Amino acid sequence: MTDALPPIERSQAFRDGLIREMRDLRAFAVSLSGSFHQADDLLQETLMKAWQNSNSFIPGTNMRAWLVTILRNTYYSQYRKRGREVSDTDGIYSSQLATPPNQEASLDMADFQIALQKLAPEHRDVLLMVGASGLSYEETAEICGVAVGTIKSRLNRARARLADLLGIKDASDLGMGSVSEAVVRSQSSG
Amino acid sequence: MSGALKGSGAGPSPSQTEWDDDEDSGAEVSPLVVDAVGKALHAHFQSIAEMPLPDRLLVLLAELEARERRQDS
Repeated sequence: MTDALPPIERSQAFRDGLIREMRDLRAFAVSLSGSFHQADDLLQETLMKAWQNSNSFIPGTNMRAWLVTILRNTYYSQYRKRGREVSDTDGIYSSQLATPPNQEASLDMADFQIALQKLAPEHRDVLLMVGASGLSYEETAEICGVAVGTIKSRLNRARARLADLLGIKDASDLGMGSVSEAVVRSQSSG
Repeated sequence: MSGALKGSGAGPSPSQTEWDDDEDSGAEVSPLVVDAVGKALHAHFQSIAEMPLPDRLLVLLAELEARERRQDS
């Protein structure tokens, strides 16, 4: 019964939970904003808000969903206030990676980030929440304030659009050329 | 989730200019494409999550904790 813990121990559990989530939350923030600098500002503000409102976190519920809610609300309220800043997508990986694995991998990551930034915000949201952060459709629907069906529809469109941006058009791009060609042949002849 | 922090449609959300969610979602994305997009997304996320946290966040966490200890004592 975590909610029966005395204040000090509860705060320790809360702190441990925060630390556990921090890296994934940073990946979420970078992917959302397209900028390490902005992501770290967001993370800092989220951390402070989470700590100040720790009493409103219900132990046993999903802390990741709770933190994503705070971070996303913070991001979009800043976004509305000052408009979209130019993100520093170009070169972020070369400057952030202490030891870049190799140039090609770095470029792939930057390309992916650029593709993410080209998505409609509501599509990026669902991809990052459901696809990357592992939140449920229900949690994501609650955070976005829309129906579960809308989340599924957005996810479908988001995947299609991202695949398009990444140049994943059919199975032949996935190293399954012979299979896809066979499928295409059978469809066109049928 | 807290009432004060809960997301809502009335809250700060991106405007929907490009897509109409009320429409049918259109053609289903093939499972192979779903899989490829999912893997690329996870790889991207993982590459960021594996980076060390910046010092300023660790310092902030320590400060918040220290402040709370002072208040408790």
